[in-house]
Amino acid sequence: MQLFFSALVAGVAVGSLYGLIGIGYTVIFNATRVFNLAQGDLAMVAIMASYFAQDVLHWDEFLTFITVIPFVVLVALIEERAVVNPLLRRGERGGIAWFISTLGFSLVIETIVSLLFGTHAIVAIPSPFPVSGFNVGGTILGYRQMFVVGTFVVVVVALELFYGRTWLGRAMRATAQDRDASSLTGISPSTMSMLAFALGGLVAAIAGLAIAPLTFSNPAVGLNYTLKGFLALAIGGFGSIRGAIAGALLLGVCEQLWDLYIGSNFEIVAGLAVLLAVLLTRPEGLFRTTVARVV
Amino acid sequence: MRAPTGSLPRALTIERAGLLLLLVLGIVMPYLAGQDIFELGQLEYILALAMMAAGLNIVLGFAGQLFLGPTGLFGISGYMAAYLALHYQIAQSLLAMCIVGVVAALVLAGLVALPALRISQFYLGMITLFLALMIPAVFSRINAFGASTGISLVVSPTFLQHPSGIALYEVGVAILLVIAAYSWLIRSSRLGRQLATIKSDDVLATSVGISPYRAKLTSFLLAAVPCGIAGGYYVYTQQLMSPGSVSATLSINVLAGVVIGGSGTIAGPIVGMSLLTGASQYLGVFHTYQGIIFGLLLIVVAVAMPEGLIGVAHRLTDRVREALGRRRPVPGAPPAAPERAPDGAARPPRPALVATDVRKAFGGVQALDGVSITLRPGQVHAVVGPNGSGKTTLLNLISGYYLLDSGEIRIGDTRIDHQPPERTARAGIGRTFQTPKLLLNEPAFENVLAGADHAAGASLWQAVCRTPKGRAADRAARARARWCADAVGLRPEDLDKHVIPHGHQRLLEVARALATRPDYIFLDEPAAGLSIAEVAELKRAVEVARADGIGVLIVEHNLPIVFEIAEQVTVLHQGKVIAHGTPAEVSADAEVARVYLGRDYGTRATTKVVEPS
Amino acid sequence: MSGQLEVASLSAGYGRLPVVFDATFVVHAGEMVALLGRNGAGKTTALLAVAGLRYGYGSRTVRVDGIDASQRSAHAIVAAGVNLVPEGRRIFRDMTVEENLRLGAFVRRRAGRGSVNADLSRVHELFPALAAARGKRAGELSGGQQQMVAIGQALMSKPKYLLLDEPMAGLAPVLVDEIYERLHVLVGEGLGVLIVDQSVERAVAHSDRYYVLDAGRTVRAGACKAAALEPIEQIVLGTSALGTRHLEGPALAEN
Repeated sequence: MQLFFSALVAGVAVGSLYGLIGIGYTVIFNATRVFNLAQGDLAMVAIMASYFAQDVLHWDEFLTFITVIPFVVLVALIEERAVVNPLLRRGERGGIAWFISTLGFSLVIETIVSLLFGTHAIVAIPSPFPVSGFNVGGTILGYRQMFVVGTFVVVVVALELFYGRTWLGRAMRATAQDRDASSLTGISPSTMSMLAFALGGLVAAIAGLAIAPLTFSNPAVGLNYTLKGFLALAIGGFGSIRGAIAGALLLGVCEQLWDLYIGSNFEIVAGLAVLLAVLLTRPEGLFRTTVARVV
Repeated sequence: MRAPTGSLPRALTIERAGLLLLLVLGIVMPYLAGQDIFELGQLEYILALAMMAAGLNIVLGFAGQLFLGPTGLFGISGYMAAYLALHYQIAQSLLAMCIVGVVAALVLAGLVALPALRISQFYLGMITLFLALMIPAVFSRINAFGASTGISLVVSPTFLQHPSGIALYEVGVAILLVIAAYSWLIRSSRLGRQLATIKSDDVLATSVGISPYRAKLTSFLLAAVPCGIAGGYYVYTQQLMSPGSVSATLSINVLAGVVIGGSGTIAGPIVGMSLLTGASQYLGVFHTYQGIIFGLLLIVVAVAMPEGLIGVAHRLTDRVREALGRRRPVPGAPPAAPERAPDGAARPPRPALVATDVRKAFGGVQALDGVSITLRPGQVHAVVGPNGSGKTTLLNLISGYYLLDSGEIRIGDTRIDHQPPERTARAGIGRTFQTPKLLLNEPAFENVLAGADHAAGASLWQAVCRTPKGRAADRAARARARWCADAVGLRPEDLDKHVIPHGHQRLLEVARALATRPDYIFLDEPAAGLSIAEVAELKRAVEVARADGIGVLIVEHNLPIVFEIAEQVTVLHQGKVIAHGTPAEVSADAEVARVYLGRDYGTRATTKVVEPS
Repeated sequence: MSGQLEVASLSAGYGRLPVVFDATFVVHAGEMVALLGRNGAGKTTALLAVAGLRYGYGSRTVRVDGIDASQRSAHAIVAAGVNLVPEGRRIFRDMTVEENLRLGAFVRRRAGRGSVNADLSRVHELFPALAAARGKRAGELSGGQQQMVAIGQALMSKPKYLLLDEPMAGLAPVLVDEIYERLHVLVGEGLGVLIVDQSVERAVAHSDRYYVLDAGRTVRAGACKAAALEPIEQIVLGTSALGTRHLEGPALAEN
């Protein structure tokens, strides 16, 4: 039973990481209807940059924090301008174009990072938290795990406040619902999409900084996180933060439980299994957003 | 080469040139690059990837489905072929490996397609990408498949490569050509047109009776064949199958090859894939920066050059042709229109279409509030009313695109509500759309042909394989399409165009609807934006339909046109029928005048609902 | 020239579909102008083009109080003081009435809470039904209420010129009167209004001046007071000699 709770805790922690990636997508998708296939790679850039800052330049955590985040946001904005905005202006809705261009962008980033750092795994950067944890009824809650979950909670709350209480947040929700109507209200869709990507980059950077001390990473993990984030959203439903949370946590927990009871050989199948289960029963995900008309 | 019965994408000459060039290069390459095992192995690798690219092209380029995991199919084919070859001598020939590969790929494609195609495009993209990631991960963990080192056929005592050397390579070139022919057969047949409608718009497809789900599934299965062959060929030539052979990055590279070469063309993916892979193999610099170059090319193509290299080549040759004063040969130019409607044999009298007490609400708005209407064959029935009265909702509802909240719709004794729109279309209802929905990047005639295909006499496979029955059906469809186009006033030079002026777009839609041999035609504001001459053609087309015994439903704002051609008029207002009868009766109706013109505005008359007679 | 919205030589369309060829009209501050014409004449396209959407396929000259706004995109046109209430009640259905209204003041967000709240009160005064329904999701309201939200939202930006595209479509006569009444109040305070109404008689009864658009061109204009309705109605219903001459415009080239 002990093991079950440990797996549960680990699942929530891993799920929080997936959730951070997933929320990055949701933020961008909501305002632009574009699913940023380079999202996982943005997180990967954050990981690599923090490694470079701490292990090579020997900066402290604070300095790392305040440089990596703006750097990743900058990369996200470059992506928006170069790769997404030209398509949005042409009115490409749905279909292949943005998928391919964001995929291309992710390939470019991944290659640049590989050329700079090599393709082998790099060691996790030192974490400010000790490896130990505190004991709750026999189960150990690691400090690092709690930090990850805590970060996730903070990001979610901050975004909910942003969307619910601020002008820009409400404007972004409006743009997501109806781009033309929102521009008739005085909202600039171009500014909104830049803002969306900046937010997406911010969340990806936080995700990367949270992941960096936990495990080995190499440039190839970008695609992995991209897909995990997608799985989380597919399960939970696109378009809502609640969906991202639900899907991510469910995915994380299922993976850890699968690992525990079935063995770690095929945990990659666990995610797909959950996804198929959801798709067959509730195709829009667990939390669906508005249903669209056809003709 | 005989004149093909199918119609082809533009400028086949470019593609023929490209393929010819590749054929020559293909045959000649070993003599240029070197004939030792290593060099040949590299060339054979290029061939295998080109085969995979051709497969991906069928589902991505022809059907427009975002399938991003060709290496998934390739991987399972290769692994199965390798595994069986290692254990059973009978499975060690090239033919056997290809067959095993194709079977494995078909099974996986079917399994993936069944759930995946019921959801949106972009889910499909992600799931297939996931598939690409999963295959190597799964196989690398199974010992029977060699875990992380994979299966090596070199260790098998009985395995002998025969043919080998240059012959093996040339066999590969031949296989690639066969696959190219396979792609061409599909693309230029009725099946290819079905895939093109799916690519353009699912709604368009359903309106001509095509089930989007089935067409997409078919495209998946068709794509599995070249991918399966690629897997078999790969294992046979490289004598190895490992997780490293099928990384997810390879999937993206194949995607890049297809898209950059020219997705949707025959030669494009093969040319693109060969060039990119070749450059990566032979140019060291290219190889180091491969990811950046591929990535940037993908971005450039997506943003600026959607038609890929082949598209750029087309544009260049167009300019050369213009400079030389010659026009591009447009294929598929239909012959002269037959005198009378082909297959105009007498048909059994059609039953009436009756909609009873239909209600439909969207959110808080009641769009239709108990509307009843009867359409009779051979009768022109107009539905008019101010904006927001529910006219288009009614049309969409009867043709099956909206689900009614209550009420029923019948043709004769058969209920046609609560079924997918393609079934309603097949039950004999053709329609046009408020904003014309046409095929992307195809000449005008293809649109009408897409409608005529619906009434084809032969099965899809007969059409693709060009059996006599299939060819006859194709000819009949062309003749019918030609006749229908003529009936709406479109001339041959109009049918060849790719850029179609608005008036012709509307007439094309009417011709397409006519071509489906419907019992009823629904026209959704067909006169909007038409010139006087075009309106006259429209009226003529309606008369042709009526004379053929087809019931015509027109939703229109243009009252003079309506009153000229309609025999029955139903007036809607705020979701209810307020008047019904002949044009004379309706235009004299005070209620109608009040609603349309605001006459007697000062006196606040209460709304009377006139029951339809 | 101040105090007017001037639109000249407007041409616009959708993709390869040219709809408006040469529309011209002027709206002065403090007056109500009716834009008439049958469906398909290009009224909606013209208004969308003035508002900054879909004008990329043609050209236009738009001057607001003398300042040239021809090159501006939609959100900048709102900032210039021209606000369009498009047809079809395009409000944000998943947001509450209050959120919808507040969003209307987006261009004035820097003016401070107090100022925005004051405008909100004003809109509630004009449309009491909205005050009552403030917390409800906009998608759950009736058609008439949704229309009020749409108009209220536009008013929150304190426009100088308000364009309304068929705001009366599908509304009960009583509501129509109410809305016209409110608009008159606003016009009295200096707002310039351009309204599209399919009912010719009603629009002419309420407005100061009118324009008739047919086949994408302004074909007739005049003062409403002494206007003869018959000729206008004939154009709108397409029966006059003038009306049936569907002028063919130039086909737009492929982009």
